[in-house]
Amino acid sequence: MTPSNFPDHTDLPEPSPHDLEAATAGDREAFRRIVERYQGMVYTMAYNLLGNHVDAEDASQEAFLRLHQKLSGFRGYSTFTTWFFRLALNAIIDYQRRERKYGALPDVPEPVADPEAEVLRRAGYATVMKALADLPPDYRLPLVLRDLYGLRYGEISDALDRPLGTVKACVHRGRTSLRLRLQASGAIDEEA
Amino acid sequence: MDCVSCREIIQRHIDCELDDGQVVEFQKHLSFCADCAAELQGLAAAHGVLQATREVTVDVPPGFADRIMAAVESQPEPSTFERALATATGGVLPGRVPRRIRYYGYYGLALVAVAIGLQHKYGHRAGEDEVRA
Repeated sequence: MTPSNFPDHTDLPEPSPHDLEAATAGDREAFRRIVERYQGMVYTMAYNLLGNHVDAEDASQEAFLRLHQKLSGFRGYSTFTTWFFRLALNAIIDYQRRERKYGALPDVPEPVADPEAEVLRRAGYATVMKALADLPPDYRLPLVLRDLYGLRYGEISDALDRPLGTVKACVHRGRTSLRLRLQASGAIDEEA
Repeated sequence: MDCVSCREIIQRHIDCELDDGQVVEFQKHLSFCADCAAELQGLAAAHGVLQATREVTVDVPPGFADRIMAAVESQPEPSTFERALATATGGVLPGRVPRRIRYYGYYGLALVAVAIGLQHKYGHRAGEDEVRA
């Protein structure tokens, strides 16, 4: 599974080859620099998928522990960011599957970056995350992976280990549910 | 096109999966069906909101990297076997074999089982024919 358009929405520079090599050899400082570079990406992904800070931190920690164990498996066939995105995504999905903490309401943060999109400025990140967190997890995960991270349906089916048709149906129903929630909260127009 | 098909088509339109002919049919329906047109606008707006969320980075809690490093420090170093496994699998956990690849494996196993069964049935008979001859 290769994330379809993940590299399109990150400006993260790749870690230096020296840091990668040193971290693989067990250099803790080099590994720390990688953690600091990617913590925002992983934490945001975990928060978007899980909907609350406690789970986001625990799942992110698992993602970095898995990175520590698997770093020697990075062969450079893709960028490190793409490879680690997949590893972190699997770690977060495994965490969600294991913990089964469904339906937790999010404690909403203020975004660090002010988004350009007018629609999001109007709706507010907190409102969007609240609407997302209120969705059943069976809808939320496929929907976030599809519409937020741009994964293909086949990639989502592989990542979640669910049939392709089920994934499509969940994304479609998730979009409809999200639309109704956003309209109910006034984030988007009733007519829109 | 009726409204039920149109609702399905709207989702495929958002996924950019329609061909030119389907787009024409779809637009024709929308031109006289206000309900479906509103459905399209609502779904497109929700989709747009979600896409715009891509640009947001959530602030990590204070001390986050320290806690990650403490967790890493508390972990035993990966064994030689674990390192070899990570190297061999490119970092993919053995349990995370994609569904479609796993199905190829199941089909392969089923074929092998059928082949063994046939061998057992007809191979045995061939042996008897040989003895008879």
